[in-house]
Amino acid sequence: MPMREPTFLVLTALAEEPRHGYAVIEDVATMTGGRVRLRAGTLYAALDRLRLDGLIEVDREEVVQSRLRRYYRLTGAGEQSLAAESARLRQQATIAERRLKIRRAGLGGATA
Amino acid sequence: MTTLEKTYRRLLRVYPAAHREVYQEEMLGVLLAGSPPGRRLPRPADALDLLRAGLAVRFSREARADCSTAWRDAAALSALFVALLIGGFAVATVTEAIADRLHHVPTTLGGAAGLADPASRAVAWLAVAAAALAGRYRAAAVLSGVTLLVELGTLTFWVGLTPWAAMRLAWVPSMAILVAAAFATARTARPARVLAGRLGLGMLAAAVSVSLFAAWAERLPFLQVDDLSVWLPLALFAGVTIGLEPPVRRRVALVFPGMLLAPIVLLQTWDSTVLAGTTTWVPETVTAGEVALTLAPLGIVAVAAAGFARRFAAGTGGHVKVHE
Repeated sequence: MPMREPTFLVLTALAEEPRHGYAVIEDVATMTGGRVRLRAGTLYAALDRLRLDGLIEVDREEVVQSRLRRYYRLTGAGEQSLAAESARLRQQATIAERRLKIRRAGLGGATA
Repeated sequence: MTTLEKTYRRLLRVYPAAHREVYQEEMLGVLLAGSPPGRRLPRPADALDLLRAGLAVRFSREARADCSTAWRDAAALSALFVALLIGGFAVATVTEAIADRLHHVPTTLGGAAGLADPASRAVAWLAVAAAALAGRYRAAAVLSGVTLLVELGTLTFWVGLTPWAAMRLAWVPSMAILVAAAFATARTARPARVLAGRLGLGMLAAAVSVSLFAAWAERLPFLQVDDLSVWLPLALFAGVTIGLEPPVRRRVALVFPGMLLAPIVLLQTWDSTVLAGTTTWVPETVTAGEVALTLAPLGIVAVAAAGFARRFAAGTGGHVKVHE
């Protein structure tokens, strides 16, 4: 079953290094050029589900300015899941690109 | 605390308490970090997102929790019934032994030894039941382990005196294993006294109390020991079950008879394997093969029960138990 975009983006944000909630939001916004800005409710629904599925785990906790900061990291299963989803998306994108090339070539031939 | 934080805290109440306990402070940090300085109220989109996500967690969790909680409650009550039934029967045996001594009836085992066996078993099983009634299911599981040792100890003692009869009692340690597994599974269930209610507690107390009179009742023309030590307690357990809330009641109606079925299956298996061909006489000694055949079901029950308890415990997942 294809991964939902917020899930994919959260896993991608955690693939590089452990991050806390707000850092995930910022990283996702940067990755997507500001197109996706996760809200706290959506983010924590994803984090809770991913943790339940064993794809991420708590790396460490810090208290910064009296606020709890919990860092999450990707697990082995999370890495595999992200890799599988990346491969699936790449395959889809490759097919789309190939067909677009064919289409453009066809259109170019017709106009010539 | 700023007005913004107070409003966010109010909004976060839409999440279940267990979720808030784990994530609230962390989420507040994220929400406040994402708000520009001087902002007094949450952005409507943020507020809606919290409400949507909070309700989704609440409803999905309640649906999941209702099902698993009902099974846990049913496992706890069924194991409690079994503990009370065997404990009550042991109490009846103690009273029978006392009555025999009072009436100078010759017994197989005189003196303190004849009383020590049922008394220790009664204490062990009733201690398990007491822990379960208090909602201390982990303690009840541990005490069931102790009860298993007590049962194996008495079994070993009787094997020396009446090998064949004693070996046929291997179903009792099997019940201790089943009860331990049930309590290990039910460790987050609600306390049995809460589930049973006041009337149910009264019936449970009566179920054990009637066993005290089993030996004397036998001297009446219309009662047998089993009437007061088995059948009346079973009827009272049925009464407790009827008074339970429907989801738990349905599951107890499956689990408790299932647990009672285990000794019946074990005894049938034992009779048709170990006792096969020896229906007309009982030998004085038992062979290693017969011991193995007797202990095999015990091992199978232990492995199956441990596997089930571990699998069920893993299935609970601890959705928000980050620190575990």
